[in-house]
Amino acid sequence: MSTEEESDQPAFGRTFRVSHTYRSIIYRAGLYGSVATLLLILAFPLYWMAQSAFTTREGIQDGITFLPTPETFTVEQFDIVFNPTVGRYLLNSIIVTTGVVITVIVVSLIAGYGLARFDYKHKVKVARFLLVGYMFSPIVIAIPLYLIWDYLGLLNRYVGLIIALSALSMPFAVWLMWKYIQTIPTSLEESAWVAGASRWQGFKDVIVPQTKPAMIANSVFAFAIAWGDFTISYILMPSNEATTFPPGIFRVFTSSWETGWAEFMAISLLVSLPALLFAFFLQSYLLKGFKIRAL
Amino acid sequence: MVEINIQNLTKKFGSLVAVDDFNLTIEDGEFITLVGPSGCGKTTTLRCVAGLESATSGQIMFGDHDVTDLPVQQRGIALLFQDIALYPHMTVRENMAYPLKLEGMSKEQRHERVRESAEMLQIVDQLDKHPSSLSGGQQQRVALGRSIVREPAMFLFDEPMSDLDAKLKHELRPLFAEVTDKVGCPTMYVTHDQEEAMTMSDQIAVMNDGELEQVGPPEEVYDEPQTSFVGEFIGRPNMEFFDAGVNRENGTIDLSIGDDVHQITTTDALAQYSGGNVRIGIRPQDITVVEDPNDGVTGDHVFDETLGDQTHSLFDTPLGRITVVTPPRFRGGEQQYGLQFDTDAMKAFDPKSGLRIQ
Repeated sequence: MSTEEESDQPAFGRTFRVSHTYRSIIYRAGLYGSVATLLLILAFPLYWMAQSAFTTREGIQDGITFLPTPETFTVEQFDIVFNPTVGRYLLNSIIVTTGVVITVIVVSLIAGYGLARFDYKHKVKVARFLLVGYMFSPIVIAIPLYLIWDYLGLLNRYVGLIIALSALSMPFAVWLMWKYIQTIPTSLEESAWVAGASRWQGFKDVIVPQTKPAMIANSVFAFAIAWGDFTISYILMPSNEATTFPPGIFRVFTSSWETGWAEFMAISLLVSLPALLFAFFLQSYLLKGFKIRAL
Repeated sequence: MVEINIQNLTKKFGSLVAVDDFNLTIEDGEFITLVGPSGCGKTTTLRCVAGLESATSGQIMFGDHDVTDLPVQQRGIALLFQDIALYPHMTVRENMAYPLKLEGMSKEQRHERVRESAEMLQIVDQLDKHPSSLSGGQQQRVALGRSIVREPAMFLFDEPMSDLDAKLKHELRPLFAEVTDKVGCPTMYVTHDQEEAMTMSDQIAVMNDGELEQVGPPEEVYDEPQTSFVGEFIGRPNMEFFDAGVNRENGTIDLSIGDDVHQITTTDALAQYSGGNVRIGIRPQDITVVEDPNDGVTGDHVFDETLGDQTHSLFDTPLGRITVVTPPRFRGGEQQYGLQFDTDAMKAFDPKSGLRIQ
């Protein structure tokens, strides 16, 4: 601390000094303060959704309390899942999402390997062109798709939506896999060939197991796109039986005034939860997958 | 196990000729080292022999079999890569058993064979670990083990020790020699390190610019270099080169290097250069330092590199900077000395082609 006695001496550094103790207190206050702010903005909507989902209809009408109260707590809102229509939406979503994730992983592995290991003219330009697809709004893509899918007889069919949604995440997935496989030294494969492995065996035994982080990153990405998609699903699956969850909620909302807020919140929670859990448990892999230089 | 015959091998990448009309025979059980500076085509040659590159022209024979167009999978070779190339997602045991698994061998047999190799390489207690938790030397042993679990027709090494420190290299050299000896097949070892080549090989093949300069046992390549490139590349410190005027006297030839004249016995080959110039190569070991600056070439002492068992001393002379191997306790103190060249140790080379004149 600078004092009166020191003032006639030449100034050394800044005259304003804060001791280590105060410094760390200020630092911590700032840190926890920003964490609290972030948490409030990010987590409160989730909490509010969950809190509403576990509240009775009457409880909501009376105005929900900040903390759950025993009198209004209930799980009966989740019975809506056993409603055959909503259950159907859920099943459709699960089938389509699983299909998309599997398609994206398989195709991105093969395409990424091809890009990484074979050279042809204008390879990078072609790959870049694929990313142009992301410049279009989904609705711009969805309407022509509807006409084409109608012509091909793919409307209201799982395979139709799986193809459309896989195509949405594919450019990114292929790009990631390409760059990831590039980081695996070719000598690993060559040593497998020397040992007698065919190109396919080398790919299967040496390359594929090492792409786990990229596969997981791709599946999280594909999952998020497929599970949450509204526009494409709404347009390509027009019949009620084929509807997936996000357009399904919209249908329920627009078709009936009987469904209460608590039930909507229960459905919303069900839609959000898998995506959150998926991302949460795979996040360490996810980061590894994205941690490639020259992406 | 058979001898390997490489005939007129040429490999071009577009207009670049990486290997030019390469001929070499490796006898059964022989350890041949392909040595040369980076970019000389030695690794390309090895990859052609392995089947990882296809030859532009020429033939590669394993005994009576022409393998030139055979894919790498069917050549039955073992290859040790520069970056070791162990599979990071497999344990040491799985790594070593992989070639056997491809052969369709049963699990018990695989583990038995892996165990035998691991015992020979002293890595039995590492079998359940992953490669990333092993030291550099242990990784080399595992890679070596993976190559020998299958009986290879030929053993190829692609600069496997270039990333290791000197001490580890020294430790692994006898191991490589021992293992290849036990396997007993022809071995081709590629390196840019002339010391490795000298210490490990039955035969050394020196390459430069895609061409084979000389093949022979290490001592022969060292004592009788056939080109000035070989003379310079093999042996440390590097051979010193000087331009020398050639003058034929009665029965002898005078070589004048600077102001110094060396009289040597005539050879017919050298006599043809009479009145012209040749390149003279002499090893720093064959130059003697004397106190009298006027005895031989005058040299201003610059610097001593102390090695303990000998000293490498640098001198500035009218002929340029010359390195001389001096006794272990020699300290020049930046004085003037005389440098005497041992006439018998001089090698004469054609100034244009670099070929030896004998």
